[in-house]
Parts: sequence; structure tokens; C-alpha cells
Amino acid sequence: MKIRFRQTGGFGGLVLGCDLETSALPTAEAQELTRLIKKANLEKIQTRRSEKGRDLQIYEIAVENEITVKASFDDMSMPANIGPLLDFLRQRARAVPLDG
Amino acid sequence: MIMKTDTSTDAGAGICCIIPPHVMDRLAQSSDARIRQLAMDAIANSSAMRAVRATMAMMPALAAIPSPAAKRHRLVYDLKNGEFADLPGQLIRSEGDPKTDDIAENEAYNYAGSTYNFYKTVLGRNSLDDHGMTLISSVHFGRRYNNAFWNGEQMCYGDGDGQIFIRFTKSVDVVGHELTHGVVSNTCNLVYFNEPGALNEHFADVFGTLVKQWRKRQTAKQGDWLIGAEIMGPGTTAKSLRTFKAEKAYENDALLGTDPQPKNLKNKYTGSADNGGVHINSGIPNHAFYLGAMEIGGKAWEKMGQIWYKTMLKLTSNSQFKDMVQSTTETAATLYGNNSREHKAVMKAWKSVGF
Repeated sequence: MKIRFRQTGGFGGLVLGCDLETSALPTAEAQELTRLIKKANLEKIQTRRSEKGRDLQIYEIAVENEITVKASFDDMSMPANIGPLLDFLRQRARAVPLDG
Repeated sequence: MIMKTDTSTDAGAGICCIIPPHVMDRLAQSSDARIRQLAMDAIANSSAMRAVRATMAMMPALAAIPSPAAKRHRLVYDLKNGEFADLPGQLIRSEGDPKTDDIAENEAYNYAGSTYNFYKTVLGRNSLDDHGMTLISSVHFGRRYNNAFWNGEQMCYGDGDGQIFIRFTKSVDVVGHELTHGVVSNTCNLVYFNEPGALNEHFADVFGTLVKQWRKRQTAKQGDWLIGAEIMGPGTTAKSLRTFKAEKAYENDALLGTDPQPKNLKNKYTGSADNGGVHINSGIPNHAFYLGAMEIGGKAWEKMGQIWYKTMLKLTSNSQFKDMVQSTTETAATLYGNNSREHKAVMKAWKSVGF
């Protein structure tokens, strides 16, 4: 399973992200990531944006398995159950080239 | 109309009552800060107001929380690491109250005051809605939160992680930026996507930096033209988050990478990240503003600031870069004369960035 995470926007407009593959992670970490993805119900999110918020951080998560599931949301439109997955990914995020 | 809220205070005395709106309005103007705040919370939290707000997402001017006397009125709240569900937090400082022992609370209060004073004195605007709207700030948002934002009704400031960023209230231009999002919402209300979104960010950066230069009484030449210089943490080599000049705010930084802002239309970002590059493509008009200000000379708020403010009032929610170019050029000619130095400077600036 491949996971692509990007965080853009925010006041700073920083472009951060990480690309993970569960087969390349330590077993415990891969299991934890798989559990968090399942709990997040990404397929139900699709694209969500707060209409009124400005300078909110924007998150994009794509999970490629048998099918590819993509979700995009911001700080204010973030579903509550996605917090643990977001924490996991943000801890591994680094500066990445735009659209890279 | 029934006003009912379970808002409570630190003293535990909540409002849960039925009060006619005219009485609530009087309470909102009370000289007692606690009563005033309870009344305003009641107005803000009433189910009727929530229903109105839901239908007024595109009409923010009608959803503003009024200030008691329609003049400068600041409220600073402390979230104590709370997040969205906890907004606005505990009221710490109201207009006229003495300073506290918390530096973020005092910076949020002082810089909101500087921004209000700038808009009132320089541009003749009475707060975000031009009707004395209360300026609400919440500090200590979340834990190690690396951001500041405008949620459509108020400013929120994180403390930073101590590495990339320190507290976001430390830069007056950050505060001016966030409040200007409120001004934009109450004027042209540029949608936050693609070119209109980049213009929204551009106005926020322009007036954020003008507040800073005005506060320091700097000429365009003396200004640093940096956004967020004071909030950068010790873990980064970045001089700031953005720069209006033909340079990068950071380059090959271990934590931040390279500043992605273009300075010319030919390098415009066309991807979907960041709502279509709203914080990225704002670099193009930002650089044009800087070039115009340097060409005209003197204090940037005196002429360029006036041209840009008048343009903000003229644009519409879907205005594009070309509309911005046309409107600023026409406004410069109207204010200072056709072929005037100012008119030529604005045209030259836009041409320099690819228009």
C-alpha cells in the first residue's frame, strides 16, 4: 500500500509531505498506519473545504492499494476521526517540491 | 426572537434566559466588560444567529459582531491549547483593560490596535466592516501549532513548535495580514481559489506590511518588505516566510525547502495544491506592489496603499489578475492624473512582472 501525503497552505504557505509504502516500513509501523487508514474512512471524505476560513492548512492524502482513494480537507473541515492518521503523517512530513 | 445560550464564564455564572433583542443590544453596550461579553456571546451563539450565519457565508458583512460604540473594540481570548471546538476561549483582555503577564495576549491586543488605527487613520475605514466590528483574537491555539488563521469571524494564533516557528503574534504584519482577510471578506470577498485567492492573499500581505511600515514610520526604501520575519524559529535559516523583493525568503532550507513564490506571471503555479496556489501566486502581485512603491518613493501607504485600497473596494469575488492590473492602473490615473508619476509607476510595475 502506497500513501502520499501533502500539507500546503497555512499562513506560511509551506509545502510539506511524505510518500510512504507499508512494505518498506517496520512491521509495527506498517500495521499502525494500516489501522489508522482504516479508521479514517478516507473514501467518505473526498474534498472538503471551509468556505470562510483563510490561511487554514490544507491536507491531501492518497492511498493506493487495489484501488486509489483520495481525500482533501482543511483544518476546519477535518473529520474528527482522521486526527490520529494526520498526526502520524505530519510527524513524517518534510519539505517537498511543489507537486513533487 | 428568543435569545438562549448556555455560555458560561470562569465564575460559573452563565446566561440561560429569554431576553428581548433590544435589551440584549443594551447589555452589549454595558460599561461592565463581563456583562458586555456575556451579551455579545449570547448574540453570537443564539440559534437564530447561527441559522442566519449558515445562509450568509457569502455575505460576511451582515454577520459581523458589532462593537458596543462602533469604534475600536478589541477582545483577546486565551484558548489555553484548546482548538476549534473551544473557540474563542477565555476572555482575558477587553478594550481599555491593562496589559496582562502573557506576551502573546498583549501582542494580539496591541497589533490588532495598530491595524485598526492604520485602517482608520490612513484609509478612513472603521474596522473590518467599516462599522466598528469587534476585533476578536484567540491566542495559544492548540499545542505547538504552526499557524495563524482567520476563521471567518476572528483571528487565531498558534504558539509555533519552537523550531520552525515561534508565536505567531510576534509579527505585526502577521496580525495585519489576518485582519485584512476580514476586510477583504467585507469588501470584494475574493473567493479563496486560484487567481482570486492569490489576490486575497496579496491584499493581506500588502496591508500587513503597510501596517508594519506605518507603525515604524518607514519609507518604502527603509521597509524590509518581509512577511513573518519575527516568527521564524531557531531551526530554520529562513529570513521570513515571504518577501516582496526579487529574492527567495528561504532556499534549500532543511525544514522548509525553497520559497515557492514566483515573481513573474510566466512562472505562475498552475497546480491544485494550496487551493490553486493562493499563497504561491500572490508573489507575483506582491512583487509588482513593491516595484511600484519603490518607483514612487516616500511612504508606501500614502499613494500605493491608497490605490490598492480603492481597488479592493472595486473588485468582485471572481476578479482575476488582469482585473487587478486594470483596476489599479485606472485608480492610479483617477487619483493622481493620467500619465502622472504614480500612474506610470503602477503600469511599469505590472509590466515588470509580466503583464
